Amino acid sequence: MDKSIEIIVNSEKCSGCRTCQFICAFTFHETFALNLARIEIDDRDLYPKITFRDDCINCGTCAKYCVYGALSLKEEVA
Amino acid sequence: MMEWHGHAGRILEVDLTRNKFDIKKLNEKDVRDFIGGMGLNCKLAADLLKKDLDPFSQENKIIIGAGPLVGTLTPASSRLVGICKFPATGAIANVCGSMSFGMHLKHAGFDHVIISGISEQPVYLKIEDDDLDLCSAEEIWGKDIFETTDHLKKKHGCSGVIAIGRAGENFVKSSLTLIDKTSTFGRGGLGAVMGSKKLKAILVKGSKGITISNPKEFKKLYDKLFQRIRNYSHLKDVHKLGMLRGTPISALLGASGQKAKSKQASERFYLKKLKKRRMACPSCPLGDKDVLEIKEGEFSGLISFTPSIINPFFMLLLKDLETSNQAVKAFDIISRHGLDALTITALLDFCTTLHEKGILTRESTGLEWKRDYQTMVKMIEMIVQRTGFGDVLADGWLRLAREFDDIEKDMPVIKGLDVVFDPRLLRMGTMEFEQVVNPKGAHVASGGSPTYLSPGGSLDKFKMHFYRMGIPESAMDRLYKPPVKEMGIHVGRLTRYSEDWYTVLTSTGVCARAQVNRFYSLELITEFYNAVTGLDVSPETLRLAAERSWNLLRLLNAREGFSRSDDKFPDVWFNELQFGSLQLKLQNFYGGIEITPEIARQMLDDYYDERGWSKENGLPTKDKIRALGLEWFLS
Repeated sequence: MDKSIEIIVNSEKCSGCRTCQFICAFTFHETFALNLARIEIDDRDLYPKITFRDDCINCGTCAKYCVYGALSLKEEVA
Repeated sequence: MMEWHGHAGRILEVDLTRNKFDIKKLNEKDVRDFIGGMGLNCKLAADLLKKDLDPFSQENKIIIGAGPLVGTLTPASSRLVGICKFPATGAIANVCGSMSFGMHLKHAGFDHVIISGISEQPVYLKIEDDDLDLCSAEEIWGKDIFETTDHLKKKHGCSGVIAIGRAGENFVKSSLTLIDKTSTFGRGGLGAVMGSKKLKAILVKGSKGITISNPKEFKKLYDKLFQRIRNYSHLKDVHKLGMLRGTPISALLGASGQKAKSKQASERFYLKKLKKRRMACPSCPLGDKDVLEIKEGEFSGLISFTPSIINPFFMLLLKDLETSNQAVKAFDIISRHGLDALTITALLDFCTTLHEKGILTRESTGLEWKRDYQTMVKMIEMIVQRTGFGDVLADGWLRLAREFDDIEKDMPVIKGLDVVFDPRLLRMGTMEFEQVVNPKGAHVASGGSPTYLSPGGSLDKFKMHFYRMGIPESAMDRLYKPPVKEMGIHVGRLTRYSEDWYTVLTSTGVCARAQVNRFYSLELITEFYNAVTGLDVSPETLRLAAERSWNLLRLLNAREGFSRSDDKFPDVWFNELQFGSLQLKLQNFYGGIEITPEIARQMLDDYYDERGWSKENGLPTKDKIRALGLEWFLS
C-alpha cells in the first residue's frame, strides 16, 4: 500500500517562527539559509502567508516540527 | 584564515558622516574571550567608545550584535543586543531585543554592525547581503514606527527592521526603537541616539545563511530538546496565554480593590476580547508575543503589536486608567512614537503625585494631572513635541529632579531609569534586586532566577535551577545563608549568578525569558555552541567569558563615573506603599522578612563580595581584573 502525505495548512495559527523553513533547509542542505527552504513564509501581513515551492517533495518534515498547528499532517492510505 | 561556523565572521562598520562602509574580520581571540552577541558587544564598546562622550555626538557608536546561535534552529535563538552610551542615564548600557533582525543580520553575513557619525540628511541603513546603502528617509521621516516598518518591508521584502518614531527624531531621552514593530530595543534612549544621527531605520535582509560545524550532532541535540519542549505539559498554555501565564496582574488588581479592572486583565478577557494571534521569534517554539485586536467597545477594530500582553496590562495599575481597551490603545500610541511605556506610566504617576502636593500646577504645566487615559495621551504628545513642560519630561528623570527642589528622594528611579518592578508589590527577588546593581539603571532582564514571582515554596527545589544556571558547587552554601536566616536564599549573592547566566544566554543568542531558559542549562548551551561553532569549549569557558563580559561592562561604567554610590535602593522603597486598602512594606521574596536599610546594605555588600568586587566602591578589584585578563582595559 502507498501512503501519501497531505500537509494541512492553517495560516491563522502560524506564529512566524520559521522553524519549518529552518528544518527544510537543514534537512536537504545541512545549513540554515531560508532561500534554500522549499516552504516560504511571508509575514508582512496580519497572517503569515505559507506557500510551497515547486521543488517541495511533500516529505512532511516541516509539519512534523510545527508546534503551533499551522502545518499538520494527514496521512492517507492509497 | 579562520573558517567560521555559527559566527558569520564579519563586522560591518558604517560611518554616517562620510557615507562609508567598512567590513572587518571577526577577531578569533575576542570570540574565545567574549563569545559573541552581548559579550563581544562589550569588548567592541571598550575598544571604540571614548570616555565621557556626548550620547548625541558623532563619536557615540551604536554597536549591534547577534550571537553565534542566532540564525540557526537552536530553539529560541533570536536575541539581538545593542550597546552605546545612553542619554537617559549617561551609562554605557547593554540592551536586548528579538524578532527577525538578528537572524537576517547573521544570514547577511555579519555578526555585528557598528554605526558612527551623523548623517547630513535623514537616512535608513539598508543591508542586503553585501549590498549596503544609506537610503534617503525623506518619505518616512516623521512617520510612526508601524508605518515606517510596513513601508520598508513593502519596498524591500521580508526583512528585519529596527525603526524609530517621532520621539527618537525629537531626541526624547527615554525613547527606544522597535524591531519588526514589536520587540522593544534600547530602553534608556537608543531611539534618541538614532534620531541624533538622523538614522530613521536599519533594514537587514540576509540570504547567505549560516553553516554548522557538526550537523549530525546538532540534529541530535535539537531533536532531543525539541521533544522535551513538545512534551512540556504547559506548552499549549504558553501558546494560548503568552506572558500572561504565570503573571498575576489580574490578582494584583483584585487585591488593590479594582475588581472591574481585574476582570479585564484576566485570561478570559484577554482571549475573548483582545488576542488576535500569537507571534514568535525565528526558531522559537515558545512564542509569547501578541498581535492584538480590540474586538468591541472603545477603540474597537484597533490592531496592534506587543512583545507581551503584560506590557499594556501593567498600565492598568494606574488608578484612573479605566479599561483594558484604553491600556491597549495607549500602548499602541506609545509604541508608534517609540516611547518607553514603563517610563511614560511612571512619569504620569509621579507627576500626578507632584500635582496632588501642589508642586505641579495646571498653570505651570498646561495639564490637570490625573492617572487616566486622557491625561496620558496629552502628556505623550507634549513629550514627543517637546512643548512646554513636555520638554522637561522629554529629558527624563535627571532633568525633572533638577527643575524642582527636594523631589529626587521620592522618585522611583535608579541611575536615571525608572523602576520596572516595585519590590513592595512583588517582593524582593533577584529581578527586583538587579534593578539596584545593573549598570544601565533600573532594569530587570538580567536578574532572572527561581525567585521571580516565587510564592515561597520549597527552597530545596531551587538547587536544580542553580546547577542548571552554572552556579558552582562552592557557592551553594553561601546562597543558603542570607542576612537573616528566615529569608531562605541570599538574593544579593544569587543575583551575581543570574547576571552571568543571562550573559551566557545573551552572548550565544538564546532567549533568557523564563519559559525558554528553563529548558537550558550551561552544559546544554555549551553542547549546542560546540556543535554549531566547532570551537570545542567547556562550560567553564562560557561561564568565565560571561563573567568577564559583565565585569567589563562594570568597568566601562566605572570609567564614566559610576560606582557603589549609584547602586542605590530608592528611598521610597523603605516607605509603605498604599495599594488599594493594603499597606505594603519592602519584604524579601521568601519568609515575610522586612528588608530594612541595614539588611539592604548587607545584601549589597554580599553581592559585591560574591562578584569579587570592592565593598567600598562596588568595582572590580585588581585581583578580579587580573583573574579575568582585563588588565588591558586599565591601560
